[in-house]
Amino acid sequence: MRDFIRFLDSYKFLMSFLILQLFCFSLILQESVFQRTILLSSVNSVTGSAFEQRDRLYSYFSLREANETLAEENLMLMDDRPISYEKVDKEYALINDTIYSKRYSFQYARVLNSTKTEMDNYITLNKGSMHGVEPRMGVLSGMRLLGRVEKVTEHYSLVVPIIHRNFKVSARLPVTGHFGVLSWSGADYRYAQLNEIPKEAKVEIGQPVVTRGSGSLFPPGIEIGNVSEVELEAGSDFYTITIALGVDMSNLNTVLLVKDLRAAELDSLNIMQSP
Amino acid sequence: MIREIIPIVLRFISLLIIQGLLLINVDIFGGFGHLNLYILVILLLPIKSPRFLDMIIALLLGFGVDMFYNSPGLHASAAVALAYTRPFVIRILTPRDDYDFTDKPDTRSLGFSWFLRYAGSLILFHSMWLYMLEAFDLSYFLSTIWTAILTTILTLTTVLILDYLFSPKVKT
Repeated sequence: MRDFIRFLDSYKFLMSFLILQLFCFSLILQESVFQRTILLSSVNSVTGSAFEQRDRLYSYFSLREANETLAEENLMLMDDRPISYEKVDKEYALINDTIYSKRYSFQYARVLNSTKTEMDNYITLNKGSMHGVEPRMGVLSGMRLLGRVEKVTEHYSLVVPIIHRNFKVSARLPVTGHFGVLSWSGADYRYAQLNEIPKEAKVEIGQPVVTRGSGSLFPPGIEIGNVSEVELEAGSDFYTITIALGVDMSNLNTVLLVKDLRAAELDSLNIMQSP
Repeated sequence: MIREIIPIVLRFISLLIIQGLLLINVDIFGGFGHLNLYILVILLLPIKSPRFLDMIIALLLGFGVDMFYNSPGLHASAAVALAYTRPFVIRILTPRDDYDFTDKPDTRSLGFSWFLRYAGSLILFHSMWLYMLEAFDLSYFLSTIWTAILTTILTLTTVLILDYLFSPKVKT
């Protein structure tokens, strides 16, 4: 017995080291499998408000840029208003707006923090469940694809952007009509990979890539980026395409949150399909 | 006792805030190099401080950093590994006439070359552990090693500069 205690005593540091490591490893694994830990993420009240205080200071430095992007967006919207159109025909036009029903609603949020050089990057936003943000909402920046909401607390939400190894989205090449899966390799925050485009497709450098809109995350046709490199490995039926992302990860101020008003309906259909 | 604890607590809080709000967005060497200054809290713990306490401090510090980085357990694991390994490095680097009980692990009490070897080896170990665990996949092996080396160079340089700026000059 005394030997055993001596044995334990001589290894007590190694033991406590291993126990602590086991604890950390279980947290890491739990995160990559379930993505549930709120306490140790930046959307908890401590780090969330710390980022918010910093944003209050930082936002003064980017006021000019923010104004310019707002002015540009205003210009686009003004350009689209009826006032800038002239009737082509003298006859009246019939606008039947009951054939349209609203499917997506938008909301804006400020970016409190974003990383771009980690292997799994995250973005913290200043809107949470009390503003109606829910997990699995789509996130756009400047009408370009940015990511999806992963975790939500009362005041903050955490976004998994394209540049996270778990992010996957169905993407389409509007020129050829083919679609594949967009993912990120963990290397460069300016590029992503598009897989599963068959080699029959005539893919060329510079072609745009947009969302397919198959899930309930994003409307179809949202810009993702442009084809920057096309590779066809010998013996493979599918291209490996590198996409230059349209969204600038190093300059994020405000983002749009997209809510699919028919998400619940789509999900229930998917559940029915796969019992 | 109190006089030893206060600087540790101050370093803990200030470095955690600096790491979480400023250094998190530092982007040098094309995004491969990171600046992990928070480990200075562990590096500057007294040489004879209780080992178990070191590990607990490291765990709390790591969890704090993880909260900012959204990586539960990752920085905590690396920080605990660093705190566990530190006494081994200290033992290997023992000077010829052993440590004094009051020695602090900095250039002032143990000299520049001792501190360079001490901080360099520990920062390299910490970066390797951190980025291997972050990748969790051998297909990233080369970029992981590259990240770890660049991070070590960046962090070590900054630590040496800080040490030069903040340690009081030796009176001759």
